[in-house]
Parts: sequence; structure tokens; C-alpha cells
Amino acid sequence: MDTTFSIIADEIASLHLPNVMRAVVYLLVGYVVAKSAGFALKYWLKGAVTIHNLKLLGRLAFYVIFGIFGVLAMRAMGFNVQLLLGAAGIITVALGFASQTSASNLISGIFLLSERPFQVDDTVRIGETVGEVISIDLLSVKLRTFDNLFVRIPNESLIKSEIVTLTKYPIRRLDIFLGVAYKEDLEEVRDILMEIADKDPQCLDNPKPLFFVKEFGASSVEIQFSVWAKQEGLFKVRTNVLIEIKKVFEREGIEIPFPHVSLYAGSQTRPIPVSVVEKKPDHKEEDNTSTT
Amino acid sequence: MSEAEFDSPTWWGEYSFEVDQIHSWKIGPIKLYIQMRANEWLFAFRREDVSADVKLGWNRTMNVDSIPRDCELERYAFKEAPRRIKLTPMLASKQVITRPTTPFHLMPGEQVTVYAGTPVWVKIETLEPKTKLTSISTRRLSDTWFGKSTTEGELCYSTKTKCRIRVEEAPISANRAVTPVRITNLSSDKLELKEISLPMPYLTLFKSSDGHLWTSPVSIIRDKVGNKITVGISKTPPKEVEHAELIAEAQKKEKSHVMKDVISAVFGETF
Repeated sequence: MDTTFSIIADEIASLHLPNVMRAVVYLLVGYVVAKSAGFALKYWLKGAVTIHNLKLLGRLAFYVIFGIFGVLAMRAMGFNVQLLLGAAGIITVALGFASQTSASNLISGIFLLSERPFQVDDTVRIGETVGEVISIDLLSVKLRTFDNLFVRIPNESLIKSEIVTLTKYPIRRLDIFLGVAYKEDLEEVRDILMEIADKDPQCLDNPKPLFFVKEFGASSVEIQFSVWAKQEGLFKVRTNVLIEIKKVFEREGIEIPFPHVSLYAGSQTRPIPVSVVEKKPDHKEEDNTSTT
Repeated sequence: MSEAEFDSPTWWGEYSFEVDQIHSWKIGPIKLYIQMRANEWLFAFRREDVSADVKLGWNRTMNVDSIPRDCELERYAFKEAPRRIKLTPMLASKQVITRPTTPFHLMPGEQVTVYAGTPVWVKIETLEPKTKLTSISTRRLSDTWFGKSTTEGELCYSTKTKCRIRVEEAPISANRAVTPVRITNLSSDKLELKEISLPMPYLTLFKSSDGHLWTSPVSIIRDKVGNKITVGISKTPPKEVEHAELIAEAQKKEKSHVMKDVISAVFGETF
């Protein structure tokens, strides 16, 4: 590699060009070489490492090679690189104060890279945002939401947030919450729901579907029905199961009640009768209805 | 389709089409329509909701007028469509987990052969040039997960078996291949068969002289101590089949992990 660099450097140095022009040539050649090295690395390592690491290695190769050509360009322009390196310490301190946020993002990014809670192409939920990871960079993570928005999340805030990787495992459980009327036979409801899952080929046979009676709610008996399905097409499975539940419940006469309230005057009395009285046209009274 | 093709004793085989001709096949629960157009092949199918237990036959109809509207369609375009196609039965590309419909126990020191039936796929390819176009399952199989936990394992197909143990009761059907699974329990404990993972991609497909589909047999032996299982996949036709004819080689070569998976299934060690 050193030989390659020195050959390219000697070739450029032998050109009879003004210093500035020579520096520009160094930068241009450096850019092309660095880009090509990045692509070549990605090509060679494709399949051997994850997409995420492939991108990182490609980027690292680009910056290292382009940095070397940058130093050569500075030398060509007459800068003393050793002096510059000496000044780098002071510059680093100054930059450190000026770029605390960037440094924090950078360090958080390094932690994220080592921890690897998700990879490129995973679907994640970070706070309120759900989307597909399109890149993991040193300063931020970029997501594409399902309504096609681009979201950039700084690594600093990412490291403090709860991250849910939705595509980590090949199968997921779908929880469906529903209520049935108090008059219904819950064992019959359980059998019907189990049959719906059994008939749907996209609902996994194993792990088995789950049926829980959660509580006696204000208007209905609250039920949780959970089925397992493949990661891909999860929303389709949910829709199909919900459509089928509604269809079968209607056919079997099982009521899914909407919230309602019954008024009682007390345990010993009958329900309060209500009657509506029409407004009398001659009187301008405040109340036009009365209840007894 | 020529007369010879039409008289074929099996639903699979090679068929010639004229432009715009439609022929149909009923293979168990699936009705398949195939049409050749000048620049494309069109496949349409619909599956009937028939119990998996029922023995189903097959039939073929030449020169159907039209394809019903409620079919699922697949189209394959060509500059000039080849006129000949080949239909071949194909085993599932994933493992099939089969579970007994009722608890099934094998007593100590006993040996039994369980005949398990699994639906086949219809592979369709053109001839001259030979190109695979599609494969259509004759029955839509339910998905299932097979593994130690919900995070480790693999997606498989699922079926139920009545654990038929007499060859006369083997679940033969036009759209099914029968796998003889010979289970030997040498231990002093009874063996409860909760589920068997049938390694379909590793099995060879055969045809019996009467046109039924069989796979190479699988043998499972539980040792005397009861904690070691030996599993074998034979490449030869089952002994129950006379004059067996090879239909399709195994899709994958045998791997050691397949053996392990079948073992855990026998013991019902999945969650």
C-alpha cells in the first residue's frame, strides 16, 4: 500500500504544476482512490460481514486514504505538516469545547456500534418513531418511517432512549383485545377464537394461540386473544384475524358491546322510567322536557 | 394436448398446448387452469375447503372454455411462448411438523411404522428451453415454529396426523406423498409422540406402480437408556412400494442438524 501511495505521490510530484494545482490534483486523485478502495472493500467483504459493518469499513477505508492524500496536498502547498500536528493538540482542545454535542454523539455512536441493538434494514421503535433503519453513522441514526418520512436521531439521544427492535426475531405475538357481552358463553367464545386461528394458515400452530379473560369491564367482559405469526406480513394477519372475528361473531350471534350505562335509583327500586314531553307553543318556559 | 398425453395415468407429465388453449387439472383440493397464449403462459388456481383427511382423486379436462373469475392468477411473459410444459410433483421446501390428532404412545421395546401424508406442490416448467416457472401448493399449509424457544428455531409447515400404522390405511391421495416413519422404542419407558419433524427437503420422491406418491422412509430409534436417538433417512424407496419409480431427487443434501431436529421433535422438547 505504501509503495502504491509513494508511486502515485511521485507521479504527481513530477508534474510541472503550480503548488495549488498540485494540491488539487492530490485531492482529486485521493478522492477517486479512496472511493474505489471503499467500493472494493465492500465488494470483497459482501456476505462475510453484516451490512452495517460493511458500510462502516467502507467509510473507514475512504477517510483513512483520503486523509493521507489530504496531508500530501498540504505538503504540496508548502505547509509544514509536523508543525501542523504540533498545533493539533491546541486545536483539539479548542474544538473539544466548541463541539461538545458532536463529541457526545460520536462517543454514543461508538457505544451503539459495540452494543449493536439493531442493524441496517431492521425496523425499530425509538420513542414515538417507528421506522426502518437506513443507516447507522457515527453521529446519528437515520430512519425511514412507514409514511415515508426521513428521521435523523442523534446518537446522544438514542443512547438514553428505549429502543425496541421489532424485527429482531422471525416470529412475533399479535395481541388482540376485545370485549364480549356478559350474556355470552365464554367457553364458546374461546372455542370460536381458537378455531379462527386454527383455520388461518398464517397464524402459527406453535406457539399456540392464547386466550385470557382479562377482567369484568364496565360494559363487557374483556378478553385478550393472542396469536403468533411470521414477522413479515404481521399487519395483514392482524387485519385478517379481526375481519374473521367480526364475521364469525355476527354469524354466531356473539355481541361485541359498545360502552353503555344503566341508571338505577337504588338496589330496591325499578329502573327510572323516562318520558319526553313536547314543548307547549304558548309558554316560554325554560324547561321543555321533564322526567319523572 | 395429444391423446397420449391425455391418457397419461398420472396427473404429472409433459403436455403440449396450442395457442389460446386452456386445459385444467383437479388434483385433490386444487383446481388448476393452464392457458398458453402467443406470448405468455397463464396459470390460475383455486383451492376447495376440503378436510385434509379425505382421500381425493384427480382428473383432467381438455379445452376448457374460460378460466373462472375467482381464481388466483400468475402470468409469465415470453417473446414467443414455448408450446410444451411439464408438471411434476414436488415435496415441501421446508420441514413439515406433523402432530398426532390424539395422544400416541409407543410402548417399551416396541416398533411401529407411522404413515404420515404431506401435500405436494405442482412444479411447472417449460420445455425447450427448460425453465422453471412456478410451484403451486395443492393445499395451503399452516405455518408453525419449530425450536427450543421463540428466539431460536425455524419456520416450518404444520400438518396433523392420525398416526396410521397399517399400510392399507396409509393416507394416500392424489395430492399427497406418504412418508413411512419407522419408530423403535428400545427403552423401558413408553414414548409419547408429540410431534415429528419430517425433513421433506431431504427426502426423495417416488411413484408406486398404481400411481401413488411415496417418499423415502425415515427411521427413528430410541436407545435402551432412553436418552439417545438414532435417526436415518433412507434414499431407497419404501419397502411397501413395489416397482417404485423415481420422481424427484431430494432437494437438499442430508445435514447433521436435521437429525438433531427430528430427535427433539420425537421427545416433544419444543416449548
